Amino acid sequence: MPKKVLIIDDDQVVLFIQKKMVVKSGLAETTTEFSNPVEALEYVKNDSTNDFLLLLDIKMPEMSGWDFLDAAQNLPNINKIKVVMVSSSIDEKDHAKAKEYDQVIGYMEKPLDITKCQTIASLLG
Amino acid sequence: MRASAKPVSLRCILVASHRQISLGTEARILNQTKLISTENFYASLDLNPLPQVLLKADSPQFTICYVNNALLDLYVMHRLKREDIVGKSFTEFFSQGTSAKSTEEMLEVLNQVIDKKEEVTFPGTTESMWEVKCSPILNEKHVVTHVIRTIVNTKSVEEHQFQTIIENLTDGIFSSHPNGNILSVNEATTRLTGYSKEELLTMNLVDFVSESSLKERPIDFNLVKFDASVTLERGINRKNGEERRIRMNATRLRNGSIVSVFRDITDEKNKEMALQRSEYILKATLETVPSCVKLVSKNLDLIEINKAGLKQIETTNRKDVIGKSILGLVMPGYKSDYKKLYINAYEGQSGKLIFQLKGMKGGIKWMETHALPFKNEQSGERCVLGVTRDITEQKLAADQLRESNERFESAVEATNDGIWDWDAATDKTWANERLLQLYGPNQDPDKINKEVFFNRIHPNDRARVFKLFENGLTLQHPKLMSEYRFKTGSGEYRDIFDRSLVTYNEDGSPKRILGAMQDITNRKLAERRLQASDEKYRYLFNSNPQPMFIYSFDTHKILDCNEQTLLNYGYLREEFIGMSVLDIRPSEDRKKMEEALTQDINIGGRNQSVWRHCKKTGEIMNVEITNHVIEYLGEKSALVLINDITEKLKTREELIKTNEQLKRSNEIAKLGYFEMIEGEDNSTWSNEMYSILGYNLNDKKLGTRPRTSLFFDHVHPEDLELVSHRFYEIKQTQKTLFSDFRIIANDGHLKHLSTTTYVTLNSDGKNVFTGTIQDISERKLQLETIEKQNLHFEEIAYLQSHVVRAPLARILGIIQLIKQSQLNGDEVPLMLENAMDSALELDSVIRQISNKTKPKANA
Repeated sequence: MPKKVLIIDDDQVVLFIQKKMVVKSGLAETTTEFSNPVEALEYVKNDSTNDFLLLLDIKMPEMSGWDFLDAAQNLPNINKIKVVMVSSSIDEKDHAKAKEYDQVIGYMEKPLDITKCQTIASLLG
Repeated sequence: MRASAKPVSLRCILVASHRQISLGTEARILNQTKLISTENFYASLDLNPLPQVLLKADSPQFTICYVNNALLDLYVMHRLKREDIVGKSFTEFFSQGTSAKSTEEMLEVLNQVIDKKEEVTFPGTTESMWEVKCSPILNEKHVVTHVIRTIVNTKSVEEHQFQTIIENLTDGIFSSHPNGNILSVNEATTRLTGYSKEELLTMNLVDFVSESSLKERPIDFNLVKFDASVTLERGINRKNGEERRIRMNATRLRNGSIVSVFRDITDEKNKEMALQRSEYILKATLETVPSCVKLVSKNLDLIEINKAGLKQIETTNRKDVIGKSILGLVMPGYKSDYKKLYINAYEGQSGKLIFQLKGMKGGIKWMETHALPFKNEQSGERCVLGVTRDITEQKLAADQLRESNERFESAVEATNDGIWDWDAATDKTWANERLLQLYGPNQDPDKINKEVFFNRIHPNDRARVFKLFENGLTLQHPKLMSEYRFKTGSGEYRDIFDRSLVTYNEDGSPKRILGAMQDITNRKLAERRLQASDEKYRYLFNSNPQPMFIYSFDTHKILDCNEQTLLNYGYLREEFIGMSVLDIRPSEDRKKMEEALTQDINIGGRNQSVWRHCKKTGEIMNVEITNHVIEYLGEKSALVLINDITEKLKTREELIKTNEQLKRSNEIAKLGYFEMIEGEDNSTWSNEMYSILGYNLNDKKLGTRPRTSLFFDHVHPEDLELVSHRFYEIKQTQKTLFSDFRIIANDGHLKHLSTTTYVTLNSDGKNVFTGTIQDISERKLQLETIEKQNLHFEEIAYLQSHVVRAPLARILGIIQLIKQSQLNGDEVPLMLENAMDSALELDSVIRQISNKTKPKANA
């Protein structure tokens, strides 16, 4: 079953760019974008049928990417969620922390381009 | 009473024979007895020498109510007693022998006596020769109640028998006129005086009384009374001139004549005198003999004792012991035997006993007593004669002799010496058991002689010993001594030390030789071992790598030394031996050494001290001296062991220097050192430790030793558990552990310390925590500064990652979209505007970073 791709970032420009790149690269035909991670979490929670690929930013005002992941651990469908962290941070600490979550399968530095999307596709195997 | 009555009755017979009857006096006496009691009246009758009978007047037959002793004497031959006569009728008992014709006639006469109150006499018949006079007596009321009949034997029918008796008596009897003329004599008188009866009847008493007796006591006939006899002793001359001694009893008769009875007591007197003399001699002897002589009763009470006896029992007063048991003076272990001895003697069996006596003053002596049966002449009683002599000295001497003999016998038995006694006259030798053992069982004891003896001596010793003996005997030495090897019965040679005592004849030839062969093989062996040991120790001394020498306590001179001493001090042996121990001291140390030499140390004692010694070159050595006090060649000496500690002292100085440097280093490094013993409050701190804790070393409050608890008092309360746990870990793991903690120093400042601690066990088995403490407060401050800086840098990095790269990444994304022609016509100007905004944002962020990285003025 194809995964439903959600792009979660507070920056509208970034949402725009990443949507273009995901579709262009073929990673997904459509995407669902959330500038508010709280809403995204609620969305995922309410959909227990689909598998999800979340392109998740770290630094967000309402809820950081890390907070989102912590909250998602309590979701009943957590096993159906795969996450790729997409951040402008080049800090090793952020790379290292991302590895602490089972759901996180990759870390991509912004800007996301077609090559990176293809890499994500390969990670999903 | 009976004995005294007998001569009275005899007198009555005599009176009767002479018919000298005079009763008036008796009648008067009796008439006056009316007021006395019956008992006393009877007694008065008994006193009367004339036979009397008391009749009851109111009885029809005149019953006899009493007869006096004199009358009973008359009937002694008839074996009649008073009870045989009293109660009988007077007429029945006395009618025969009187002139009364019948009982009735006698009763009539007696009644007449009562009625008329007058005396009536019954003349005796020719046959009976009885004459009875009856007299009345009155009671208090003058009523005749009794009639007394005084019976006087006037005509004894047995007069001839009495005469015969008198004639046959061994005692002399004679009567004499008051002037001394002899009237009658019996046969015994003629025998005792040597005169015939006829001669005597012509003589006066003074004719045969000896002159000496008359001179001593003249004859005085007035002394002889009628109613009492006089007894006296006299000397008489027999007809042949022989003087005899007589005892005489004289009685005056009523007619005035005197009857004398005498007995020759010459022999008795002689015996008595001899006895007196004997007793005197005996008494004198007893009083002078050194032995105790005593008379002892059957109950062992002392009857008599001589002076020596009193002395033996340690008293001077006879009263202390006479009448008391002598058993009390006998020591307890001998009482039974002593009592038995004296009781046997009392029963007639003599015996003797050696016993111990305890005198009245407590002196204990050995005594030998002989007990003999004895009859006390004075009392006539049997008793025991005891003769006891003090044998204490003799006993002690005997004991000593016995002990001496026992010692000698024991010595001979116990000695391991072979004793021999050679008699020159017989050339025979007596040998004791030990000597025979030396010769062995195959040697005939009777054939041990000079030749056999010398053949047993080792061939290498034989000539020497023979010569020594021959020379000694030639020169008549009384004592000969030699040592040689002697071949025993088993063929083994034993070392012998031989001592001989020689006695010589007048001609100088040996008479007798008494010798003792002492087996000294073991001693010789010990001597050889000692010699070997001595050599061994001598080798140890001489070849010892440590310098040693011996010096005399008296002279302080060096007596001996080993080679190493000579090497160390640089002297030749002949130079060093004889030097004073003061000579090897620097001159400034000699006074101290002289004082030390005055201290007395006993043999076997040891002391140790450090001195300075001089080598021959003058070089000074620091030496550690160990003195052992020994006896060397009979002299109290000290064996001195020298340990050259010059190098050691140098090393020590260097060590001290190094320690000082370390101390200074620690001070510079602010490194404190501590030692804390588990369970004890006392600990050891270096000076820097005090400084770290904020104390001044001179602070008296600290006391002489730092306290472990003081250290923990300064540990920051929040770190106290950590520190305690660390010490626990160190103890458990026995590993060196590091830890950092905080303290609040004495001045109130917070300090950060770093410690390195390890644990060891001391001799008491307690954990000793040893460690260093370093004040790392400054370093800690630096670290904190760096950490703050790092936080700052992290903040910058964050800005770079998230804030700087966010607009940049946006710009890059927009560029990629444009480049890849993913934007449609409307989207391009919008994206370019976004790109412009992102560029401006980036510029703003860079400016912020620039501000943050500027150095702060107070940083």
